[in-house]
Parts: sequence; structure tokens; C-alpha cells
Amino acid sequence: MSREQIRAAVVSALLSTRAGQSDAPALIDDETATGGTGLGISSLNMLQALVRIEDSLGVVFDDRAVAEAPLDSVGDVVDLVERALAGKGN
Amino acid sequence: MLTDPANENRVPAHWYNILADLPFELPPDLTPPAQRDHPRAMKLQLPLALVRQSMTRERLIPIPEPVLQKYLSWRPTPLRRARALEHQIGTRARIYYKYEGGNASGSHKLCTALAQAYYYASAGTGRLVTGTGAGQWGTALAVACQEFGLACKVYMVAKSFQEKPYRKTIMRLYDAEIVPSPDPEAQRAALSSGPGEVHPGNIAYAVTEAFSDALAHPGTQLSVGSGEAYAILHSTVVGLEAREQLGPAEQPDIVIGSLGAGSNFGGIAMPFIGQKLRGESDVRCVAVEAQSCPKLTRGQYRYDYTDGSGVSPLQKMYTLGSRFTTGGGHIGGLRYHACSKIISALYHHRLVEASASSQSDIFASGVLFSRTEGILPAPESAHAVHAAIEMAKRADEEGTAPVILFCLSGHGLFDLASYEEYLNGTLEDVPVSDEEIRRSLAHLPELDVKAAG
Repeated sequence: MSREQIRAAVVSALLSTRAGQSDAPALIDDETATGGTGLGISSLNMLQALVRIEDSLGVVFDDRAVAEAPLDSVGDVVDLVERALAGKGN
Repeated sequence: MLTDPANENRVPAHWYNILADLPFELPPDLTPPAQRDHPRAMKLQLPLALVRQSMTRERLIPIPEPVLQKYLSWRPTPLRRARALEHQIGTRARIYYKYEGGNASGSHKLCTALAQAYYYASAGTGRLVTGTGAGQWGTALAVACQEFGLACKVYMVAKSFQEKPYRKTIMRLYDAEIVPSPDPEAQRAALSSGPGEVHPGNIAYAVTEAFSDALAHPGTQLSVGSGEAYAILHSTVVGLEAREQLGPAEQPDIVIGSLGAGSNFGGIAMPFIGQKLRGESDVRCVAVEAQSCPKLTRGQYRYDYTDGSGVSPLQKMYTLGSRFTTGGGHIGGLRYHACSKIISALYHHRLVEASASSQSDIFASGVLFSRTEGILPAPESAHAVHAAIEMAKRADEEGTAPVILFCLSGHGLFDLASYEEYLNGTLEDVPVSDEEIRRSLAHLPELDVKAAG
């Protein structure tokens, strides 16, 4: 799976947790912040998004790997997924 | 079921997940406006395993072996028929209680505390912090943290901190650090620096102080023990065991649990509600709340904060507002301002019932239960005792003889000061005015209509 495909799945999952918020930024790339003034999602929303990524990509994250990973940008989440898919985070 | 070869006791090997049987979608959690505006590094407060459990539609969730082994140290808990109580009130109803006070924490809270400590430890957490009302949850987490090698700090609502000195002692026995909430030092500092207001303390505020601690200390996370879907899930061993112990010929017509945020009522009732949702029974499930904290019977079904920080997730719940503070009384862990989003939704869809009881009534029933059955109920648990008695009497009036099951969630041996007040005739009811509720609800967050659902 290409990084672009993974990013698309990650962005879809992250956006799905933004119920009730204003429109997301028009351009979302690896540098886009997941919280605060970027996508504006909470830490709980982030965890919910990771569960949805597990379901959509058929990957299982290791709890400790998730707890230790930086998740401040979209690229951070894509990196986490790539590591899990490669078996490094599992 | 797992059989302990030492005593041939049977303990469920899984938890029951009500999400598998819900006939509706739960309203989504929302990110609070304050968190959207403040860029901050993402700090996760939960192990992913607990969030998976809160989202999956699998009906049965296996209990991890290390947790199951801990459960076997006191489970299965006794299910007893309250024959002496039945005789005393002259009812034809058959009243059963599931006694959850027989563990180190003295309450049902240990079911989720052990599970949470296990998952946090597995995710690499070194220290857990929490807020507690009467101290049952704080004690349970202290016990569980020691079992799984975690440090623990408990922020205890100041009123309980002062009134229940031995709760502090037992938490310290398990190496937990205990502080009153609000922190008197911080309050004094705030007042000395300018005009301010001393917060009287409530569970939401205690959780807020614990949350601040978690944010300030690497390797520390916040653990909460009642209204979350996973806390209710872990507590379902209570109802699953009770169902097994009653057997197919004596299934309950009415199931009763006290309501703080949800783990007590949800723990005993969820397996039975599931049967009802699947069309397998027509059981009535009744949540009993304190008259001085009436979120289901007098609150509103709105989005609200789960604590007092203003940055916690917004959940759609029956709530009195996160700023609601009970005006005293001895309702212990029932003083949380809102009800679990799952139980709130079940109530909204008229799938569970609710009642509220006054302090004088619940202490009278607690004393009656103690004198007939020999166990002094915690004030929280006495709410369920009282409702069971009332429903048995009502059934007699209606000419029916139902099977009534309730959760005696904890013992009252740390609550003797409140029973002393009752015996001295100095215990007073603490009614809540409509104006108090209106003032508190006025602080609920304003949301887009689209978001509020």
C-alpha cells in the first residue's frame, strides 16, 4: 500500500471523528496538525480514529507503540500505520 | 465460564458488550471548543485497548487471563436471597441481592479498576491519577495499581476526605498518594492573589485536578471509573454471574442498581437489558439515583463535559451540568453530575427506568437491611436496597410476586459517621431546587444544532 493510500485512509478516519465541527482545512498533508488549530481533534478522537484505521486497513496497533508514538501531525499517524503494516509496530 | 479448581467457583470468562444489541446509534462524542483553539501536543489518556472495547460491536469480550486470575481472588461474589428482609416487610416478592463488598476495595469498582490497571500497564503507563467521590473508586484503583505495579495518586472530594479518614488509610495501605480536592493550598494561593471563589468540590472537579496532574507528568495518565463504556463493560461480570447463579428457572422480573455515573447500575443490569433487547425477556431495569443529584429524573439530555476542565470530550448525556454541586448529604459516589452516555441513551429510548430517593429513606432502608440481612450497605448501595423494598411493597399492592434482583455494590463500614448522624436524628434531606438545576444547566456549552443531534 502506498503512502498516499495510507494517508487517504488516515485522513478519512480522522475527519470521521470531527462531528459537529466546522469544515476541515482545504489542504491536508503530512504537515497538517491533528489537534488544535489543524484538524482540531481531541486525544479521544485520535484513539477512535486509530480504531477505525484498524478496521479499514486490517491492521492491529500495539498499545505500547501507540502510546509512545508522536501523533501531532497527519504524517505522524501515517508513519505509525506504515510501521504497523511493516510489522515493526506490531 | 472459568472454573477455579480450588473451590469450583465459576467466573465469567468474558464481559458483555451492550453495543452489540443496541437498536440505535449512540450520538458521537464531540471535541470541546476550547481544545480546538489551543494547539497542544497530542497526549493520549487511554490505552487503545479501552477505546477498541468502547467501539466494537462484538457481544462478548474475552477477559485477559491476568485480570481473570485477579478476579478469582474474590469472585464469584455471593448471590443471596434476602429472606429475612422479605419476612420483615411481609412481601410475597422474592428479593435477591448480589453482594460486591467482599474485596479489598469494598465495592464493585475493583472489576474495572483491575482491568484498567492491566491495560494501562500493558501500554507502558507508569502512574495513574484519578478523582474519587466517596473513595470507593480511589480505593479500587489503589488496589489495582499495586497489583499491576503502577504508582497511583487519588484526588478525593474534600468533604469525603474529611469525613472518611479510614478511606485514606486503606488507600495508603496500597501505596497510593491521597490529596483532598480542591487542593487547599492552591485555593489559598488563588484567593491571596485576588478576588476569587473557593470551589466546594465535586467529582468533576476532582477529575479535573487529576487530569491537570496527568498532563504535567510524563508517563502519567488519567483513569476514570464509572460512566465510560469500558468501565461499564468490565462491571458486567456482576450481572453475568448473577444470571448464572439465579439459573433459568428464577430469572428476575426487576433488576435494580444505584446510579452514580453508570458502572454500578450498568454492571448488574446490562446483561439483562441485552436479553430484553434481543426479545428474550421483558425484564424491567431500574436505575436509582440520589434525590440530591437527580440527573436522570430532573436533568436534561444534552451535550456536556465529562469533567470540570472544559477540555474533556463532550458527550450527550442526561446531565445537571458539570458545575453542579450537591449541597451536602451522604450520597458518596452518586454525586457525579451526569449519567453515562449509554445509560442515558437507553433511558432516552425508554428502555430503562429511573427513580430518585431521599437520604432519610435510603438510610432507613440501609438500617433495615443491616438488621435483617447482617450487612451494612454503603449509602450508595442503600439506594438500591430502598428501591427493592419499595418495588416489593408495590407488587404486593398490585397482587404480584416478582423476582427482584439488586446490586449491593459495597459495604458501609467506611460510612459509619453518616449512619451515626442517622441514628442521632441529625441527618437531613438535601433537596435540590429547580433554580439550582437551572443555574447549573445555564453553563452547558452552546453547540451547533447539527452537532447537538
